[in-house]
Amino acid sequence: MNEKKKANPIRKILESRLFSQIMPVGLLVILTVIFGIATKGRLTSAASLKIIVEQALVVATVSTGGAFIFASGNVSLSLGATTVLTATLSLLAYNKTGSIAVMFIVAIGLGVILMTVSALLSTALGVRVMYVTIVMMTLLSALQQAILGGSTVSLPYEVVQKLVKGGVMYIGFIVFFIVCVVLFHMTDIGRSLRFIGTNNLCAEQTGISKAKYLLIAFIIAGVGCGIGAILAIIRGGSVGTSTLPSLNMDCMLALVLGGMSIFGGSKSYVYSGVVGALTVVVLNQGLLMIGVDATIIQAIRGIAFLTLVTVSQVRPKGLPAPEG
Amino acid sequence: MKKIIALLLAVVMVFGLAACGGTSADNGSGTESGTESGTATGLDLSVHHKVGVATVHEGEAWEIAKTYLETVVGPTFNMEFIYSEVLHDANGLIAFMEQCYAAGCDGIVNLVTSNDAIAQGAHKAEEWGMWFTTQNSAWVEEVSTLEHNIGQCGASPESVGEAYKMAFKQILSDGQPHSVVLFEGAAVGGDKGQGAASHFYSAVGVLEAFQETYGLTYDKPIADLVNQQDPGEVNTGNPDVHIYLYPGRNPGDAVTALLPVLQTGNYDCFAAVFSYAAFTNAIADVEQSTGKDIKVIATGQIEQQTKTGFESKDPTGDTVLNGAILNDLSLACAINCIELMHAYSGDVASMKDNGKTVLLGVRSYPILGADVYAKMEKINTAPELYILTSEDLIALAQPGVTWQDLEAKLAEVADVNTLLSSKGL
Amino acid sequence: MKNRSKLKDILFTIAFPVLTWAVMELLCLIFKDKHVIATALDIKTVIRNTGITAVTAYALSFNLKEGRFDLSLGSQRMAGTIIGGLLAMALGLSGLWLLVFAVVFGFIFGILTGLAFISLRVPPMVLGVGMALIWEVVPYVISGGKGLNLFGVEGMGILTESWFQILVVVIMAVLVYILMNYTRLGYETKAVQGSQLIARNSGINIFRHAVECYALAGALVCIAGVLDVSFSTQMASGLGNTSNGVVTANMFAMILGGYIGERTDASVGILDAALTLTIFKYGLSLMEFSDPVNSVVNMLIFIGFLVFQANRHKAALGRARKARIELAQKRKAEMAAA
Repeated sequence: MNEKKKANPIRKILESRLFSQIMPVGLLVILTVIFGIATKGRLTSAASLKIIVEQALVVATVSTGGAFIFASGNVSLSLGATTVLTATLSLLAYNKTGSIAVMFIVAIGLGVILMTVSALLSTALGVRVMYVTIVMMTLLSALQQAILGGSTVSLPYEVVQKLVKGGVMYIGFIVFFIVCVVLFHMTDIGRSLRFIGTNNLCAEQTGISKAKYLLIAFIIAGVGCGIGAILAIIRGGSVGTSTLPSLNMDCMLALVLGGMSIFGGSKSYVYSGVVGALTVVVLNQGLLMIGVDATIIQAIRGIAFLTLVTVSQVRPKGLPAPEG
Repeated sequence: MKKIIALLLAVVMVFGLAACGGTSADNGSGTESGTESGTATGLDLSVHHKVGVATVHEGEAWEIAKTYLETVVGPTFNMEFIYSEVLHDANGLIAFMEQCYAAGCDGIVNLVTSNDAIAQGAHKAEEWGMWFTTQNSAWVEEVSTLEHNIGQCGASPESVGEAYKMAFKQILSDGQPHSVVLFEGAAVGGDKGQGAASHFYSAVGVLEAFQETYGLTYDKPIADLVNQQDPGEVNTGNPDVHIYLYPGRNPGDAVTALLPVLQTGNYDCFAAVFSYAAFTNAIADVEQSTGKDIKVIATGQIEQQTKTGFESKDPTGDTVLNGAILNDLSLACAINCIELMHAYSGDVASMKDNGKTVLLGVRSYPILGADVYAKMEKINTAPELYILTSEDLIALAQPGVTWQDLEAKLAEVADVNTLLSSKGL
Repeated sequence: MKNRSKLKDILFTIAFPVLTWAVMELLCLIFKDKHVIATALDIKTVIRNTGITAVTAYALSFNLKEGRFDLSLGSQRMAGTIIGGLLAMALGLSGLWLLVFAVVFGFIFGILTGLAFISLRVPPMVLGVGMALIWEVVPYVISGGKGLNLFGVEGMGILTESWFQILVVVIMAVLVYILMNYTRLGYETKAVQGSQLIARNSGINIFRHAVECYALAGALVCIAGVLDVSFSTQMASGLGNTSNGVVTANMFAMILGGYIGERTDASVGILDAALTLTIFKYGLSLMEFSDPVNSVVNMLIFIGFLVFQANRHKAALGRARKARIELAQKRKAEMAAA
């Protein structure tokens, strides 16, 4: 086996940790450069880059939190539904109290509570994470519809502007991102979660409590959903039943495109969500700017996504499954 | 070490992009051909304009409107359109506008109808110096004074309400007690800019028709009844007259929920503010089961399914569709683009009333028979049969034409018979 | 299994829809003075909704049983049904042909998804996200964004006939039963369910097997699509990776069906579960619960069931442990006495 690996330098490169770290970032740079040239510099203009970053912020924030769950080898499809319900209730809290602080507290608190419920269903009550996440996705969006009916809730434009000018979007994201980097790459939390993702059984046998760390992962993801909800409110100024309808999938798309292994483990990086979210936006923006139809862009996004995922991961000998 | 390098790369990239973007948006690529307001330069059709169309529509009616934009409006005004995917809210609108701005668009035709989306979109457009026009039935005062917000045009809420009222009054005029199930769509909050204004006023029109015909004593004001989020029967004060309201945006779910209601046999009328065709099989089943004819009045477009509705027979031998309230998307799109042309010509002031945007209402066409619809369906099928032809567009885009002139033109084409005879139909 | 009487198993299976009906009937009578099933039309509605739910759950089960959650199944349903429908309409053929074409296209989309899975070997959920993005575009482009509209189209009546829907669902149930119990596919499914690695090492071609599962799932989900569109007359060609909601909503029927099917067979269990849930939802509709509230109630019950499912073995384990302790204590007492 090892000899075969040595004999195949391409496979060796593909399997190397450096490649998995550099490839998504390199890809983002390459895409930016290619579209920059194709659009005669329009894509790389300051205003365009600002737009790209702002468009990516919500997905980047939510998926950065989600990276903790993915690192443990679990998948969460309810990050989007949690974020949107959180945004709805925190906006309702603002409308009730007129206090931005209350809105922020409700957003983060609720994000944490909702994700904790998901975690406890799995860790304390033993339901498979995949089932929990699918049920929660449906439940939370139905709950949001039941609360809102057909209406929307909004934040007054002056308040939105105040928050935008105060740089709340950037501050919120940067603070959360730094905290996540520290927790994921420099503490026991990240190490343990990656260990669980690499080999669940082995991790448990070395004394790492899967339930405990999974709960922590969900709580951090909940904070991400809370901050993501605030960013979504600031960006759109309002929330309705059709707000961010594909956020659940976008987060998964961003994480995987950003280099996160769907099985978690040692090749999990907290910045995957950020890199992936930026890549998706650059791809969308670039294609639109060179005149590709919006419908076709979706298919190109799908093809590019699958191609990049295939290239960036080592092709297993069998079919992909948690057991290998 | 490698991990830290990769991490640093990612962080540098994100913050670098953010920092680059932190500079003024004036460096942007949009509004290259935008003209400052107040300095009329005349209608110059040689200048190419890129216009972003943010849509909430899909399906046949929207494709007809798109064809009109592509084959008549675009070539006439030298406009190139970039269409969005189906958008749902302010977030989607802003993201699309950002893409359009980066792609060099100098105008936006916005069809996302919530007040929040309109307000956010208008402010964004103002920030970037893009011209912004909206297709909506409710006036958004909050952004009415923004320089780059040119105006609004959409199905006139009063006319759609009146059309429903008229259609139902005709059905109720036989002196018999009638009862209705009303699929209200996004009516909830429509009067407050949270739902769809046209849906709200359609529902109000139906309730008013019943109230005036039978002297009903609702236990709440009509607006409150329409704004109720839960489905249920209205307390009409008349045991022979039942009114069931069902708010919701998903016709599939509505069919399942309304089937048992219709099956009670208490209702002989059905109204749908959109997507009535989804209910036709359910209604046919009920008619077959109860042997009772159910009259159907619905909002529609000039499209195949409206034609089919008027031409098909239900199990009782009556037509499937008894009345259609037609809204013409193409006409509203044309008005939006005319407003944009005025803005490009530096003549935006004439599209505003004392500096404030104006809501121009495209009147709904109440069609109560297959014969009238047979003529009406020819509209929009050839360049000369569009309500506003290429010549009309150029005439209305001339500097000096005011919003009152546009309003007069809309009034001119508001009556079905006048419209048909003007087209030689 | 041997110790249980067949009658007991049959009663257990029947109890789910019957008890659900009884509870909903009681609630509807108390709160709304209505019956859940009052007319022939109610039966027709229940049959149709049961059929759609059951066939979708069958489709889901082919992959989900083996741990593959295909997030592109909704887009395959949309693509197969719309393209099959448009083709049948273009050729002026009847509803039966629409069903045939939809199944063929569903099968093709399923095979293509399966082939993508075994070629790219990316995890199923990741693959599903990517494939859904691609498949959603296909019917959109082919229909020019209009989707499928069967309103007023001649010859589609057969699809809405209850006898036809019952026939289709029964054929599907029998087919799934035979496939899972008397064919290589069923044998391989059970092996892969146990362990994909061991199944492969024991000579099962897991690649071919995966493609077969994807293909069958694609074909079946399009049958559900046809049953749905034949009544609602319209299927929109939606974009934005939102097509899978309609499929995931039927997961409860699949899981509950698996539980009920432990006493009989999964194919019977899923049909039984679909009927049970349809009666439940129909009852809630009669009680004027709005769609979102209906969904919330359903999902809360689903969560409750998942919790039960995950913990039900604990009681048996507890009883066994108690028996062991008692035996040990008894033995100890005996030894002490001796």
